[in-house]
Amino acid sequence: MKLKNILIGLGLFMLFHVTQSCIDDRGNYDYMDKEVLLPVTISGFEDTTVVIRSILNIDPVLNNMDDESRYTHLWYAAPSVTAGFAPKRDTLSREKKLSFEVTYESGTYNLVYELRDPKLDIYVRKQVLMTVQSDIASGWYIMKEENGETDIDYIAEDGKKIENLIAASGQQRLKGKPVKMAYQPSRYTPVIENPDGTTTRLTNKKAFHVFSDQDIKIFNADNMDLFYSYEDYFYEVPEKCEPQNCGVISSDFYAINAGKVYSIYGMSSNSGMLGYAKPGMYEVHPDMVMSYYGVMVFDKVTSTFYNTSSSGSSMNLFSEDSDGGISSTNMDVDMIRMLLRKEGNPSTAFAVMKNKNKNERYVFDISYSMSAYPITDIDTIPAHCEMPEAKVMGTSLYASCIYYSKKEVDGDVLKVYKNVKVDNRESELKRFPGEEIAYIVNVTSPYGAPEDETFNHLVVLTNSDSGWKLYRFNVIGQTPEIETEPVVVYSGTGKAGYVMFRS
Amino acid sequence: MKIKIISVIFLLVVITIGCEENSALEYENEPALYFENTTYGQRDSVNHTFFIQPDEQMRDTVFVEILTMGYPADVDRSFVLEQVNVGQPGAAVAGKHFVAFDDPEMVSHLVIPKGSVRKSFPLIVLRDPSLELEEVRIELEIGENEYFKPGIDVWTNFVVKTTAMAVKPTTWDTYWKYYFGPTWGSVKMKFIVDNTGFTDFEGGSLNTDYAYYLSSKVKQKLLEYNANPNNPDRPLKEADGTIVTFE
Repeated sequence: MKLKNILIGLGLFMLFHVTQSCIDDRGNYDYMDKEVLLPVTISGFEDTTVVIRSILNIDPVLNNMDDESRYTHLWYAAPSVTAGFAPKRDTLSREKKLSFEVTYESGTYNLVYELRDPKLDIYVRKQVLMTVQSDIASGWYIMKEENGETDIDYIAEDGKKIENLIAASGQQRLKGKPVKMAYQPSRYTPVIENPDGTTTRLTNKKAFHVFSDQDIKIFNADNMDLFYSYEDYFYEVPEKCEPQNCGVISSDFYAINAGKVYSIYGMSSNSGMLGYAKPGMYEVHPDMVMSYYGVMVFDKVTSTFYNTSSSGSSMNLFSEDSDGGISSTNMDVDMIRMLLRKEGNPSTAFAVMKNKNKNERYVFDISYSMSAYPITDIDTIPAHCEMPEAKVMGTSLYASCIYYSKKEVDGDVLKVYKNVKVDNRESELKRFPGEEIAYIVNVTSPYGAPEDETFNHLVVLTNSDSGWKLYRFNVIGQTPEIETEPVVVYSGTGKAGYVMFRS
Repeated sequence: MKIKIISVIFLLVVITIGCEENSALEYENEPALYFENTTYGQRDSVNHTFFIQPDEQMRDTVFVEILTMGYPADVDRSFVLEQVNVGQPGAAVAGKHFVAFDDPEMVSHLVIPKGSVRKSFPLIVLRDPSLELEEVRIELEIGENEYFKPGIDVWTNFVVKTTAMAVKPTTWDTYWKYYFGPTWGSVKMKFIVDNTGFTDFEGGSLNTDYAYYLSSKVKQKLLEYNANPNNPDRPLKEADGTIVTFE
């Protein structure tokens, strides 16, 4: 047999196999054009941008519709970008017209409309990009009290105002009067309970830590969802609820409740909750100064400055002064106020102190970084100065001075104490007839802001019978002086106690 | 040429034979049992202590995970568990240190339920006064009966140790010392348990913030204990006089 015949034989053999393999194959070789089966086309909406808490209304246009009753409708959305997990779709509606109150956090989402023929189980869909923007972002957050409860009025940088942000977001206001709020721009990782009882640790959230004198609430800084209330904010709820201070620096968080110091170390896994107070038989003054390495506080029991870090569980003493300065432990002074000047490494502050044994008051110049001796200068305040008795004090970011309020018959006066070694240190800056000063802070525009948006303002918050007012005064250069005509004045209802600028 | 023809025929024969109906190898059911052994779960032994239990608790349960080999059955299948160190020094005594396997209370537990391929066997340990001063061992082995024989050889033995003394957690020197300090002692251990309620020292790493919560709380409680004049043994000490610290 020739090779040619063998090859022919093999070819026939293969042909036989190929033919045989097709017997009983019930595959579908009839194709219909999708335009024939489901000729409907969807239009009438494109990529869109919406603001949280607004209503998104869409009525899709369906062309080539034959019998609408045979179709089902489905609207859903899912994050367009996720990292480490699959995007989860959220059903928005099963009606043709979409009316959706936007409750999502800011970000981008794929918004999908699907028209399905359930009989044939085929569908057409249209997907667009939905960009959600928060209606609360940079601007001024004024904490105020009304009817024994604390809420927040928000004023955007363009002047647009949202009153009663907490109540307007469907949340319960805090009990009591405003103390302080802090904005955490990232890396907050609260644990939330799902409807099925399981829990999920959220990642990289923005948060507002809001403290009143009787309550604490932690909100999502995007959409004001509640992360924690006082009762579930602690691993073990403290016996005494007396929130006094809070602050965020880098990814760390510090708080003082009833004289005890708490922290969250943001660089390790955490649930965004507070643990047990830093151990010690201390009771700290409500003022604190944070730096990138920890927080500095003053123990009223032993008249001692302490520092502690967010990751540590001990209250640490400062080093002694190598140049023989007074020890920062067991001092013969009480603290009146500790006022932050600049936050960083080191952080600077003024501590206004009062001698326990004689009628002398002092300004301690503080430079805080880790456990190095923190007192750089001590100046005795002339006896006639009124600043140490002031109810409200604030500092300048650039000038060595302390702003304070002086109560007078026709209203409060804004004054300044210049920290210079002369006898006449105090002067008047501005009168507020009929108003009571509640808070003073020096605020500047964030680093890198456009030239026409840069500012250096002394912000004064006042209250009167008609509500609160927030004055923004231009600071003249790097002096303690201000232009007495405010650049802008905001106002609102209620009795304000604190203002935070979110840059 | 002939060689080529022969080769082609040979190949055709091989192909034809190769396409013959293939009879798969079938599993021969031979039911057996063995103790589960996993990297992050049960290993070859377990340590139990009444130390972390309230003083009035006289019984406790240690669950021993047992797995089957072979097909599940549609009937309950009893199995045999034996203590193989009876009479040896340090051996637990049935009825004194644990409920004997032939006790009526235990008989119903020595069963693989129908349809099941595993059993969490509840070994009930008893708080005998002798455990305050010693640790005893229950060396277990899978026995053979009409339903099961011992399975994987290296996993047919298991040891349960029980005592009422404090037991140093196996990860104390690699994990817990960062939160409670490097020293370990029974008084310190009891102080941690009494003041935090936390007992799962063998359960792996905790969330860092929760571990710090435990650490801070126990440090604060020690400060308060040592400052309280009503505590005659302050500062808190171990039996040998070592002062308890958490630093």
